[in-house]
Amino acid sequence: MELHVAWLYDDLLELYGDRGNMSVLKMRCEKRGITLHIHQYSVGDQFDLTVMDMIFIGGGSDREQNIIYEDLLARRDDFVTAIENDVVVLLICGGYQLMGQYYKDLDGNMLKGLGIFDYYTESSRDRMVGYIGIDCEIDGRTFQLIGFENHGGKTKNVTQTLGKVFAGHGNNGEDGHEGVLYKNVFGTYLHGPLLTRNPELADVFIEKMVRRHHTDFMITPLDDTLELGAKQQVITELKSENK
Amino acid sequence: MKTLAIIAGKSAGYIGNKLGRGSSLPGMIARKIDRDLFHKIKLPQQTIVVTGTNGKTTTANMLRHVFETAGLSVVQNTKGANLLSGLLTTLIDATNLNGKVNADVVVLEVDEQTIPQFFKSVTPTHFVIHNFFRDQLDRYGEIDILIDKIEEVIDSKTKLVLNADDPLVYQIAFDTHRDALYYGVEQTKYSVLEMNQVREAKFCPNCNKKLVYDFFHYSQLGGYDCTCGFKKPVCQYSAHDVDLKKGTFIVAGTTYTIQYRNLYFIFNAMAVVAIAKEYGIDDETIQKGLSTFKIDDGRMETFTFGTHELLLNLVKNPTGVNQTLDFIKNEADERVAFMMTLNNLSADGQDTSWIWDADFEQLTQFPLEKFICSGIRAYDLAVRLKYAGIDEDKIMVIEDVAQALATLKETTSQPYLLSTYTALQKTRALLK
Repeated sequence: MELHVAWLYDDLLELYGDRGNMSVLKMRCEKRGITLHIHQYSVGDQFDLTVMDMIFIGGGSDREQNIIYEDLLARRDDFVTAIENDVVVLLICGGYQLMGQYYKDLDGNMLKGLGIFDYYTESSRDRMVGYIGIDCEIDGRTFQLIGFENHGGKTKNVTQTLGKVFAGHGNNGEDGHEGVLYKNVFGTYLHGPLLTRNPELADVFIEKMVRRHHTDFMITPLDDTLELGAKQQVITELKSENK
Repeated sequence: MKTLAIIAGKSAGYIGNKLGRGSSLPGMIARKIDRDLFHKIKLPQQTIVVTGTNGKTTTANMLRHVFETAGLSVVQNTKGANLLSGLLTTLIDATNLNGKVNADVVVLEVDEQTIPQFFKSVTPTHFVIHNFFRDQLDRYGEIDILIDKIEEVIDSKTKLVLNADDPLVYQIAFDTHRDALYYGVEQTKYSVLEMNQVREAKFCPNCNKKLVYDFFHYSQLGGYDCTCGFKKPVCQYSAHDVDLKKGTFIVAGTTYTIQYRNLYFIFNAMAVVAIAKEYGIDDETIQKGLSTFKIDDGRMETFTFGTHELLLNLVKNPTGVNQTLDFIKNEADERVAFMMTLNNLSADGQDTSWIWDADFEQLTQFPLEKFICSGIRAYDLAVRLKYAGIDEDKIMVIEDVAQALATLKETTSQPYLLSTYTALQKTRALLK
């Protein structure tokens, strides 16, 4: 079995160790005898998103987001096609924001988004930084996801969120929700990197990718003692802080 | 008011010493009494401020040592107290009651994030900017923002002393059209043509095109050259013929020797050579100062450990880890055992995601016996190592530092110990 993931702008949007998500997926695929081909694409490269099983975009600084902006905008139609074809799309922080209507920075400058979703993001002075935990439901199964958020942007008007915040800020620190979930699109502020402390989510992604080819695929569990140990460490801290 | 604040600060320092309390308390108290006290302290003619992500403590210590070798009296913030209150504490300690600092030279290591605020009160004669790497991002935000802030606060009377090999440092002179004194290292036999490790400045800070390099030293340090004209500037002080086995390098015909054989140490030494030469110190004195300089604060410090000698190094960001592993790879000729203590208290940075930007993958090429993960975030580190491709049987999680050290001591391999900031002093105490 071979799977293909497009890792977009990895040379620019590479803050907060988001690259770790790719290492996690690759090894977890390997352990199931699946080869995950990771295609690193950047500004000006020729590539076709619609033939991928997964697309991944991480977070970057404002300067770096400006460099990739035009290139990303030109690929809007490919994104729409990929999303409708159930390609798994993981968008973190900046990547998540750019799929919405717009991003407004502190000086009031508007950066138009791809407009695939109705949400929009406005920068605020009180940066939302710290560990975050959310409860979410994916395909009828419930999960607790843990991460580290670090964003000044408040994202609002998300129709279908990824989960409910039980500790931390989430989309905007106001409505108690975090991220977006639409078809197989997962947009979120969770760094960490996300998949390193949430191996269950990594396996959901792998399952979804394989099922695009084999609808009856069931994933085999792995030994996740270390990953769940790391997760539990954070959950314990978050719960003791909330008391 | 000024005298009162200085007296209060000095008394707090005295009481603090008796109680064995923190090093920033006197400065904090003095600032409460007189917010403007910084302005009123009379600095000597020469004040040198050193900043940068990595190496500022070592560079400042080395600078002091060379000045003292030359017979000058130096005031320095030696306690790693590099935030505002700590800096003021240092100065209060060294002033008479009229607020005059009694020394020939003041050497201050200042946290890069503290520079914008600090320069509102203090105008140094020389400002050394050593490097910018990603570090503690949750506390600090992004490097671009930091550089903009620093550019805004440098007084025209301050002479810039810049590491020419770091495009992010050079950017400050380029953007502000200022003259600077440059130090750097020419291409060495250790230089590489491709750099796969995570680094800053992949794109030109001036024109946003891909930044082209003739060679890399490490991270984004090296010989960059962009078509827009943004290129490594000519250095007044440039090291060549670097030999890490012998710990030697040559500047303008003079050979210098250092006791610490890695490249980042040579960059530290070059900042010192540049300043010392500017101050008219003769080559022989600088040679002597550099060759007799020793560190004893957990930066490449060695301890007797069972039947072995153990090397301890502080690591706090990806570049620090990469440089330490590079060094060990070159040095180790037998099986190695590692321990690393990963804490995430506020002085370490709460977010541990930086370990995913460090090149732990290179450990798969080491003759590794085991890797003990310790500290508050021991499990995070263990997960990182697992996905770096290290055999899970070799990864141990022992959160308690003392217990982890006891286990490391059982090893028959050459032991190495890496520690994040807040675990460092406890670890050193256990090793002594």
